[in-house]
Amino acid sequence: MEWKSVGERSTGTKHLAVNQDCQDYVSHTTLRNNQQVLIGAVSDGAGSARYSQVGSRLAVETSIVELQRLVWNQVPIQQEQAEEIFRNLLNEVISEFQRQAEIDGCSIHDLACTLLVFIASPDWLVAMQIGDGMIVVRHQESDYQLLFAPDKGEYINETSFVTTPNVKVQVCVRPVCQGFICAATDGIENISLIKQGGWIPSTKFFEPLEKHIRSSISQEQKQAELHRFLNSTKLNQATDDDKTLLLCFYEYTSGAKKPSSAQLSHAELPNVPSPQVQMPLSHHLEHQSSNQLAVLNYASKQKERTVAKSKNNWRQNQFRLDRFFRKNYLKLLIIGILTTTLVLIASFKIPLPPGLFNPNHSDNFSTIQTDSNLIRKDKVKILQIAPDAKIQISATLRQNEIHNYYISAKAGQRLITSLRGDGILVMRSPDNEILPNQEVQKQKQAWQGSLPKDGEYFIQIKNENKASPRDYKYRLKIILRDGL
Amino acid sequence: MTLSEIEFVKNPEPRCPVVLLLDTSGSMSGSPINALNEGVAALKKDVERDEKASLRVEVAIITFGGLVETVQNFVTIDQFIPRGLTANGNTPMGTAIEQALDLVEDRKQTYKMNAIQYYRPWVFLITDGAPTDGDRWKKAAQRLRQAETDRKLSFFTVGVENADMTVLAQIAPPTTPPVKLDGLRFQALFNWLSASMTRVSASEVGEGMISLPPIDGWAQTRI
Repeated sequence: MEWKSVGERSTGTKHLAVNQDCQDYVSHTTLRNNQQVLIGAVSDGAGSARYSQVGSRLAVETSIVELQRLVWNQVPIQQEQAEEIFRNLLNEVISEFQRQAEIDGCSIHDLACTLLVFIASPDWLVAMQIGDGMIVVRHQESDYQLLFAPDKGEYINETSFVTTPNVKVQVCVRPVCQGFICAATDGIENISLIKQGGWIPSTKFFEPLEKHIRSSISQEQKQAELHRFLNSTKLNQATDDDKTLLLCFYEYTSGAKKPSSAQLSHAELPNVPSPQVQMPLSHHLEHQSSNQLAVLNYASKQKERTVAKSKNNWRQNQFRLDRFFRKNYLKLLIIGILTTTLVLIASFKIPLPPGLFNPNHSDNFSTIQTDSNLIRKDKVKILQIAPDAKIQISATLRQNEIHNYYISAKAGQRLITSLRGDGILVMRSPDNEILPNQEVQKQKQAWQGSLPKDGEYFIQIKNENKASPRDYKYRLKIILRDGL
Repeated sequence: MTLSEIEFVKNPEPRCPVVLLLDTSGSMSGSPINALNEGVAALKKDVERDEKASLRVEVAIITFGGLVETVQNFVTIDQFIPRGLTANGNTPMGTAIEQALDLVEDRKQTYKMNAIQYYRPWVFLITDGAPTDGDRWKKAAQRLRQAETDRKLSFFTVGVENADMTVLAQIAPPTTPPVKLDGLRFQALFNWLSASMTRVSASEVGEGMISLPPIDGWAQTRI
């Protein structure tokens, strides 16, 4: 029983004629530790955006990485929770865009693109769509169904993008297996959906695609034939736009029984997945605790990824953690002794027993690429940052602390800051007034803009939850530069 | 080879509507109306050169010379047969503008009912005078500016010869101020219009702002 999936994209003749890259991107994968859960994403870069081929790729890759970090299991979630997951995902994508825009010296709107994402198991599907393009599904004997109407404006050449302020994010939850899933960009739209009668997926278009993904030919052959189809004269005569197809099919291998959950009556069906922030180590241990080597490899891979992506996620499910530690305390201890990579656990803020492998966090500032004078005052930390700086700070905010980062800056200089971790970021002017934040969506965790006057600005990092403050780690990035 | 079995859906072409709002008052008689007729004929010829555009660009003509008349309701360029216009009467420009706004909204309803997608409509006003239908033009200007702000259409104003550019500036939306035609270069004007419509009708999703060709081939450059 496994997912079969194949994704291909092809440059439209219109773009080939002017030597432009394909602005579409597509990717798909199953969870590392659960082949039954598939994640797919496609994106179409905006024709008007300079670097939209970079944007579409970044949006797709960020989506895959972020959704892989969640643990998808069988506990029901509701529409609202799905909406929250995808809102968080959109925020991550926007954060990545801001970082990329900074590197390329452009605006995030130069990276504008659509985004369609789905996560599917043998029992459920959750999906989202921003902008146009489509996700078509079919389960058992039903017809092909379009999950979302393409988000067009009134006019055909308009849609919304992930970078559109307050963009509409369409989200849906399907509590049954969608055996066939097809995601595509809008290059495919006009030839596959019947507009009269309201965007009905054409069986004559999708049935051959489903047959193709179900067929017994090799994966390579499927890929090659899909590639040939997307580059065929027949298709290029019908559309001159970039086009992308991602085909997925869940197959029950012959002789094998369907998973028991799929045989439950509808009422008993686990509604939807319950995403929890992934604790790679614990999750893995529960399944593979006897295989210490696997744990080691996994941990070091995880470390590579953590370092490479420069990101961390400290949100944890406390209940799962406690249960896990009650169950696995000894195992963890042994493995911990065996592997120094357990230090990594610290990065995930697992509450280790006091005194055991508790990494040294006594001095919380590790500043990169800058000379800094650290002045400590009671509960307040002050960091003087030189102008024209590009720095990254990892620190722990203790209960009731506020961290202040002072920056001497001139009028017209641009400041870009972003915060990872819980907690909120407040930007204050030399007059100690909160500066409005209009350029970024994730307003509590980032600030970006031109500075209105000369003086000492400061960034405050505060505890988000005043009612029950707690320690947490964060990573703060600050970039100050002259002009735009 | 199951993929060779795929059949494509044939959806109707999206439409790109343009209303020509033409002054055919008495002052246009003689060489101006002749040049205008030639220009309209050139529009058809130009757009037809582009196969896709000829199926997508739809033209309608409203004239105002004594009476306000929809002399041509929307047709795609391949079915458009220009008829010679004649000039006489006064200049009921206000009424004509309102009729153009109504015509555009009606057309949109037709598109929607038939599930036809469309581009933002253009209204193209060409006049050599000033409104003669009292204060009607003020109401019309207000309505059309609102429509432009609501992105319901794009409005372009071209003044010919002795056109009252001050009044036209009060009619045209601030984003697209009136332009004075250089002499009687109607042909160049309609060449530009057809090139613009061809571009618009081929624009893809996400091209919010379409760059139009330069207008210096027909517009008077200001000092």
